[in-house]
Amino acid sequence: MMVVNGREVDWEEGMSVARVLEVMSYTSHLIFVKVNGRVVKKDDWEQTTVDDGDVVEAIHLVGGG
Amino acid sequence: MVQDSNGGARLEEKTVADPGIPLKTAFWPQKTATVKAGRLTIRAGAWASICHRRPKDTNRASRLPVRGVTVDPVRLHELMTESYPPGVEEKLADSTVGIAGAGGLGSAVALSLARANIGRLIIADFDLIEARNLNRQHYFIDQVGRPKVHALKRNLEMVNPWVEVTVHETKVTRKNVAELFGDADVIVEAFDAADQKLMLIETVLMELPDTSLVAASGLGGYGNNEGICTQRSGRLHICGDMRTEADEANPPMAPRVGVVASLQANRVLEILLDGTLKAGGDGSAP
Repeated sequence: MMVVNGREVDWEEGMSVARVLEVMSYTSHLIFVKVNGRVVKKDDWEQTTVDDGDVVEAIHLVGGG
Repeated sequence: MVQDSNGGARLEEKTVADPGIPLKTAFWPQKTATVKAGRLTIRAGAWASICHRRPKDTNRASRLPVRGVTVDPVRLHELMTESYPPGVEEKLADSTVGIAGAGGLGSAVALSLARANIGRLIIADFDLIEARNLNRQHYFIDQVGRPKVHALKRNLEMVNPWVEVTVHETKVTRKNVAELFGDADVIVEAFDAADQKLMLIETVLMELPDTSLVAASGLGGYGNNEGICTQRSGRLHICGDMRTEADEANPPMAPRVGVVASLQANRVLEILLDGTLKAGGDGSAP
């Protein structure tokens, strides 16, 4: 299990950050992601894997200001 | 009575109030001197920069840049900070806040912090003022067509000349964030485009490890005060309802934009004045 935005979520072997977002149905491309408190840039979502027990934060950003 | 940097005391108020005194013998002998007057610490750079805008116009040396109004600038600062609890005025005077964007959010945050007697603001925006911006941005009719950052600097001077304002008429990119805002204690994200917001958040969190960032997301439309909140993740603070994009269905309107801007400015004060909110204050990773 991992924690995504405070909720427990099933973990898959070899899961990438991109896959986590897919599983959560986070479809917006403008999401800010941290894994265990570390920033993961959008460019690195495919290559960065998430381990069992990791804590993921995914913050949606919308335009305006 | 004030002390100059050499420790001597002089009666300065009369000097400031007399028109025709050449600027080099006026209140601030050196641009970088810090002059203490009672409990008031005055930063010479701020006033010197106002005087030096029109070096030949010595009749205006003693006045704030408002035609027909004569206000002693020292007295103004005293009055603006007299209600503050001990220590607050000094902490704010020593603080620098960066504002990325001078639109609906940025102009509002800048004015709010200037009124709150922040020491220094660094503001960057490439854009010009359009008439349609006046429905939420803190500019005036006679400023339409001018670059936002220069007009904003002028507006800030008209409110509180003691704030040191550095402006950059430039687009903020991943490459220049550290150069533009490296001196800031806190940066306010006041962009319009969501991809710019993401860029700034990623760049600040990765390249400026001692700086807090107060961003905004979700401020379109009107009403729904209840949906607007402030969330925090380590050094990143986000104000807004987290979902209402500003678009045709929910255009940005002054009240709701102002609510989010004020939340941002309020959170900035909290970070600066309350140590537990500073970068790393909660023990979490960057």
